[in-house]
Amino acid sequence: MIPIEHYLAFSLVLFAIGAAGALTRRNPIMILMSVAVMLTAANVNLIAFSRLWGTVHGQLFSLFIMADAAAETALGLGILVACMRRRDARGAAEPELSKW
Amino acid sequence: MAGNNLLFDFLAAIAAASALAMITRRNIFHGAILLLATLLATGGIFLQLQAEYAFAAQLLLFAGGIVLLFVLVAMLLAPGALHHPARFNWRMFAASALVLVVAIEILAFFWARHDATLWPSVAAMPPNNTGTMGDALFRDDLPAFEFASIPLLATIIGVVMLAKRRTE
Amino acid sequence: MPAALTILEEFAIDVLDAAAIVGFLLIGLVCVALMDRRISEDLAPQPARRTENLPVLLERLARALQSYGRGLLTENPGRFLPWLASIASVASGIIAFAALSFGPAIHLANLNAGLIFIFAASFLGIYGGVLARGFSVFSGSLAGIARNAMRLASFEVAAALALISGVVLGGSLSVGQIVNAQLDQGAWFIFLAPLGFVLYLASSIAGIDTVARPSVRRVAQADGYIEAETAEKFRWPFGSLGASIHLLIGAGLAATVFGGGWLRPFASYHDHFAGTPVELLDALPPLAASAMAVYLFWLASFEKDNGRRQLMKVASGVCAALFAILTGVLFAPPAALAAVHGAFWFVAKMAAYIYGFLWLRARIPQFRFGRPIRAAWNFLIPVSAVNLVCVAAALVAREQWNWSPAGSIFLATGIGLAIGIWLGLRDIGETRTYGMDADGRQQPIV
Repeated sequence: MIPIEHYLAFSLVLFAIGAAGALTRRNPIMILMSVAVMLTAANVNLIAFSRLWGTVHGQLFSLFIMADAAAETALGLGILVACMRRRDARGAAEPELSKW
Repeated sequence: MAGNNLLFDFLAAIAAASALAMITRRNIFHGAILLLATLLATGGIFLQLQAEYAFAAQLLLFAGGIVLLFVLVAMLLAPGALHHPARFNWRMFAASALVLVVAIEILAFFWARHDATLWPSVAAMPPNNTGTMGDALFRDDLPAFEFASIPLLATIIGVVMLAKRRTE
Repeated sequence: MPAALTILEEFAIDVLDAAAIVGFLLIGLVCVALMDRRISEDLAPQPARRTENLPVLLERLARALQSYGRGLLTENPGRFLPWLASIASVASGIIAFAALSFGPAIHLANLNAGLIFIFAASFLGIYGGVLARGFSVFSGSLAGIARNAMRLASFEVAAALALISGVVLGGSLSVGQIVNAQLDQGAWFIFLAPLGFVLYLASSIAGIDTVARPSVRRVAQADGYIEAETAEKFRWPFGSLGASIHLLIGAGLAATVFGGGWLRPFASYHDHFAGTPVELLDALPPLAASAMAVYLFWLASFEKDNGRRQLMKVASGVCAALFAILTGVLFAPPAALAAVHGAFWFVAKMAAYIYGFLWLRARIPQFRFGRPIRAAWNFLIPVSAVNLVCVAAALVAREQWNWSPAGSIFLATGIGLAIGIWLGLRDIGETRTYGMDADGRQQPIV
């Protein structure tokens, strides 16, 4: 196995990129995508350590993270679509979604 | 061994570059496809770490589920973006570069002080990954499995309620 | 420099394996297209056109590959998404083939969670359909795109449930383990879980169209646009290359889980020819190949079209070469014998599945609009779920309560079949004919 520091470094870089996206973008879809990247970075960390210790619990927890990420994405996108629908129904101008 | 290192470097570079490109895209469809690339590359890293079930789950859940959701919702909310080419955005690039530089500096600080005796030697993984995961899920860590179903149930109910048309 | 060479050595075999798989897939695509043309011709005989021969097919394939490659190297970022749409289903299919085993040691990767990987990789083909429909004529209709995606997802769930009933018998998700379990239990899983196989076939037939790209283009007329079918000289079955590859994957999965993979029929029957180490049943592949060669050559004399005749003769020659290889390897070391004959049996089972698939698909009427998803959720998925439970119960009955194999098979199939028939009859009873009454409202005609 490659020394664990490589995986930690990669996980940190990926998390930082995701955090940058989540904090700087204004498009809600882009924010949710950046959150997904952050969760993936956490998964990389978990699975790397699971390999280091030779157990399967890290992978197990990463499964739960994946399931909850899917749920959170679905719910977030659902809320977004509902908001957009309401805004359109009230006759607002073109939704701001096209701005980044 | 060298091939192993090279493979990890390759996959990590793809994942990081795709993620960086993703957060700087103006066109959300390009962003969604780059997210797909990031997730696939990370899945490859899982496979290299002998987490085969996690790799398959990453493909199925993240790549086949979440990104598909993003693409469909993007088509719903900004259908025009599918046909518009993307343009470069300097402000975004500068902000991302700054955050990245700060992160790397933090990392370098800790790396320089790393202690080789901090980590244990690498243990061997149990041979049958899926079987071991199954044992862990349904026998050893059963409460975690059961509790994980509660947020999923709440999400399903929430999404169904959101999607219902109000009959007023 | 030496470091680079060792890296190359590490990956060389894998690269060669991957190239072999892609080559096999391309040949398989050509064969599937020809088979489909032949099978659907039996239904509606068409006059042999000059555009139907093998060179045109190969040219079509080459042009498709060329356009994929050109799209990869092109500089224009605006064309990236359409190119991705065209390649997504093909690429996902090719990737999924990496985990299938053609023989005891012939695979690109022996994944522990192999079946899920194959399933997940083929599910990625949905992006082809979603993005392609986004760019097509009907791009305004998101409901259509979402409905297509949900249709694929529904039928994939049904197919997965049916497949898992076979996996339950095998006890593992690894491809090698499942085939070895069929060897140990002495029966292919199609005999132990027949309803599962039928359900898998049905779900695959229903779901295959959803990865296809629509081939409708806008054509300008004097008074606006009409939508016309593209004027292609030769159409792939299901309208796209990606769907054909997904058919090949479905065939590979069915052959592995239900058909016994690379096992010979009666794999544990080890009678030999007198005095030689050659086993009796190992003579079946050469016999089959030689019979096929003779049959094709004889059929060639009946073909009216010259191109077809040449094609038949070439195919007959290929079968003769196959006969030579299969016989020659009988006297080779056991590893080579197992590998070559294993690959032969695997491909033969895939071909049988594909033939049955295309034959059924050509004869079953297409689903009406709005019916497919209801058919999946109200019929296929409940029956698959019940079948899964019954197969698991049958496994327990056979192993722990010592029922006879026949009894357990009856348990596995009987309940599922009964529920399937009940659901089917109930559904048929519910279809009604709608007509307009005097007020202009739609009323069911009782």
